[in-house]
Amino acid sequence: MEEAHRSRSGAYSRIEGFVFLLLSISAIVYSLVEHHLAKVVWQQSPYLFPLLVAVFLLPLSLSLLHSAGKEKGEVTPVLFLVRDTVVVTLATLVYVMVMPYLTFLVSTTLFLFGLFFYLGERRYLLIGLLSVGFTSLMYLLFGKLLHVMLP
Amino acid sequence: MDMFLGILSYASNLQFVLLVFAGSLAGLFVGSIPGLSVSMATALLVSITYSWQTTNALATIMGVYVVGVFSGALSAILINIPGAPSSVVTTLDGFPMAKKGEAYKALIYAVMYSFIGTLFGFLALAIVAKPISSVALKFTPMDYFLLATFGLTTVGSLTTKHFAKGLISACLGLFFSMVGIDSVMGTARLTFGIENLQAGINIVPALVGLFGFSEVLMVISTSLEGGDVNALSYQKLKTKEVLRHTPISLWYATIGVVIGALPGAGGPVAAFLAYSQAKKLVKNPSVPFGEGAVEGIVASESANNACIGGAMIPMLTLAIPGDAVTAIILSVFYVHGLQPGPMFIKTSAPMFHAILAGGFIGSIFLLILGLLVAPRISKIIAVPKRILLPLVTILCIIGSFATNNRMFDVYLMLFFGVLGFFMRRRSYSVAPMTLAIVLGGMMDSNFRRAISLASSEDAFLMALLGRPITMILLVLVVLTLLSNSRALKRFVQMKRM
Repeated sequence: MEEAHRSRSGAYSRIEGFVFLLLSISAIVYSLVEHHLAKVVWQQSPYLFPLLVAVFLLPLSLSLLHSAGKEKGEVTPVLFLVRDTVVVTLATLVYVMVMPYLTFLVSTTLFLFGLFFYLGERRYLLIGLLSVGFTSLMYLLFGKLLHVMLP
Repeated sequence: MDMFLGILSYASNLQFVLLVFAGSLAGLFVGSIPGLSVSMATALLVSITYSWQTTNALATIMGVYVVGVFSGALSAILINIPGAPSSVVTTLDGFPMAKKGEAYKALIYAVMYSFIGTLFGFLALAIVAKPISSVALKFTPMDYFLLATFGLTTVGSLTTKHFAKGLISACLGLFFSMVGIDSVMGTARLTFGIENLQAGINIVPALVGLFGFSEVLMVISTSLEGGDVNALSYQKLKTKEVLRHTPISLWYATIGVVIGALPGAGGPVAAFLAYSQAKKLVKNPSVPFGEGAVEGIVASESANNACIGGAMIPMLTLAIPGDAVTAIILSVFYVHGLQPGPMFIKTSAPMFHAILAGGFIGSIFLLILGLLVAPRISKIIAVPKRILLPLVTILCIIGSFATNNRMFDVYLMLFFGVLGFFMRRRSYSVAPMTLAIVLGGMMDSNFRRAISLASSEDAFLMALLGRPITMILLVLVVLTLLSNSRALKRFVQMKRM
């Protein structure tokens, strides 16, 4: 099992190495092209620092590629509760997207109720009270007292 | 004398004291509940206190910081899960004591020595900040660039096992810091035609995402189960007996201040170092270390709380934060239009006094809340995460929206939250990225200024790197890079064989 984890961890490191290598090369190309178009001397160029960072990233990504698969004793746990994480992330994204249409009060109450339920809380009275109470408290605190223009 | 009067004026300001108290109370809960962190609370506070007076914002944040670092010990003692990373070492002896029915005794020791450590740290800040500022006045743009680079490399080396991953995290942070209109030439960089990115990446949603939402996802991805809470029953303790370790705790606090002042090292490293010192210095502990020795708690808590004052020293005098929380506090300064650095103590003396006053008053509240309230909130540690996490998610969303009243910042927060989650899952620390996002703008402008100034001289390299301070900083950066290089380590090992 641990061997499987280790090999998967090495594969992930390899992917990460490629991604960062690609990022580094893209940033170098971007900096050089944009600097050429900007027609300023390098000392003043806004693309000097991005170029410096991109060049620095290059050996780091190669080092990551090189060390992929050799991560003895550094087994990163790759198995995690994927479903819960994905569901919560997507639910939050949907909640943020519908908030301007449903208003803060309605969308937050629904989101909280749904998330409490999804995460395993079954005391309906408690989650109902918490959803409505916390949403109202936040609305009063931010919307009314701190003048945040909540949707 | 001016400093003393300045601190006193804040201490006699009821509103200021009440705000420190509110922050301290929040810190007590946030620090003691595993899954909530001081950095998360501070990041959220930046968004809440965005429109407040700077001194009021600082008062609240200092309260959260000081008491939050201490209260991590509460869950460390009662459930063997540190509420804050700096309390990891406290679990080694705190939890065995709780198992033996001495949880109250462990807590009182943690309170007393956290208080002593915090006071010592802020005294060191008050004494040392001015001399360091006068040295920093001699710094050139290249020195600032190298100093920030040194900060990033040390953070990269200390916060993750894989040095390259720490540096990659810093590089990504630097890229994020460059997004938007360039401050020198006024050109849009890395915006890819997205209009909302023209003003750059707002630091508040980035911080809330990296420390708040990513933490929510981390907890959800592992387990929602909490630990069993040990009973905390009152024990009669003699004050003289508890305070017996004060002289040696000052040595641990000194370690804490020095480690805190090093960018990136922070509370956990200080606590570990102090603990290993305690093992060497205390020949006859009450019981062996690791089996419930109060001497272990004394070392850990004095050192990690002294780190707070220590971490403030480079943040205020050089604008280089010592840890993630001070990086967030630095963003408070920027948000409120203040410029920390060598001139800060001179030009913004009231703010410096506010920080000191916040720290000292916070440490008094640490003592009061720790002795009176902490023993009574042990049940709160067991608040189910299935209740806590949805509420924290809402706070993250409102917090990121509140800074500019725009939904784009909420999407930014979600992006950084997911990015932070994946980084943490794959052992990339988010601390170097945070530091890089905060320091990137300063590094960019100073680097270009240094190059411009040196290019007008005949001897370019001498003009750029020829000064003694510059050379020392350059050597420090190179040494940090080399000492963490795997290839070099392998080479040294081969030579030894």
